[in-house]
Amino acid sequence: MRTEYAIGNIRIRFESRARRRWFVALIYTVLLVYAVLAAFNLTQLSLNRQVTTTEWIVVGCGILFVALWIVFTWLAGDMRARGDEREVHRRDHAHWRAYYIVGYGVLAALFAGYFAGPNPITPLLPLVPRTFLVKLPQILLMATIWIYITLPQAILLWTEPDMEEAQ
Amino acid sequence: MRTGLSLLGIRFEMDRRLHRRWLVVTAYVLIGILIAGEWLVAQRWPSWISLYVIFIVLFGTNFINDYLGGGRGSTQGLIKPFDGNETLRKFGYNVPSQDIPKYLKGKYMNDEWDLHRRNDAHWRAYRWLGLMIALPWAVAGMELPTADMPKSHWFSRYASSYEYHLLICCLLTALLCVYITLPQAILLWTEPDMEEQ
Repeated sequence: MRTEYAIGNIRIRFESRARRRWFVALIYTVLLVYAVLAAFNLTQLSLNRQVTTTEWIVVGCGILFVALWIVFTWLAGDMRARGDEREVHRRDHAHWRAYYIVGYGVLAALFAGYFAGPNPITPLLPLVPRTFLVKLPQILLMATIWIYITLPQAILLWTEPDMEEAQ
Repeated sequence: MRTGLSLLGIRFEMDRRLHRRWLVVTAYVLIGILIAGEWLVAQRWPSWISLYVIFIVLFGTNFINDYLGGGRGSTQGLIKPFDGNETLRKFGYNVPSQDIPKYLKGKYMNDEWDLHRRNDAHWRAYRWLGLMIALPWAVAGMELPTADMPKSHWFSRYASSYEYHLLICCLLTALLCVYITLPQAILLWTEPDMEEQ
């Protein structure tokens, strides 16, 4: 795990656990906003295929998320690299924790899939929520993929103690 | 990991890796049969009620996993509960400690080697999980807005059909079945013969 990110001459330091936790909270907040807007946009897109203002906001949010994600993956380091024994233990433990959380996303997508198919509830709804429900499994799976990609790193960044203390 | 498995009063010796690998293959064949059954039933009687077969498949997989593999909270299978130490702490014992009764130790307690193997199996399983989530997502994503597509187009017809919805449901069910069983399967598959130890 790395402790700082440099953009030109600017160095952002992440030795403190509190700072890392704020960063993790920020990245998941942006991801949540992005997912909600993208879901809204996907529903709109299904109804009329026109580029709307929401679409531009979604793109902006997506760019912000990708920028944060680059910093995030830099800090967490390469998860496939074999470090010392402690690092391997921490990495494997983070994956053990993450494994069971990711499963809930898939389960939610499966339940949401019920509304996408033939069922007695969806036809009674107005057009917009009906379209949203049809798209919901895909949206949930997309969110699960992002959680899958980020969660082990987030657990590591969240749980690793202050670097000063470790030294 | 335990070396013997009792099913319906019959004891199976599982100290050899080959036997455990056969057990994994048998479990996945059974799960495959359940998923194929889901597909056939839901296709034969196309209605939203048929989709409830999904629950039978998931419960069936959980049952197979609990009685053959163990691991996830089950004390029946070959692998001790992954969170066995946490369970012992809930019972009020310090882990590791000499005061824990032998029967509880045998049922729940994971030593350092067990924990290392558990974490390693989940790390390996996690990498496969990503590929498995991407598949149903890609299939669900094919149901793109079909407004520009002529209604006669084959995909336009298929994407709004019951079979397409069933395909996504079956893929998600299969994914969940593998998700439930994969870390245990990796452990059973890779653990060496007990005699060698």
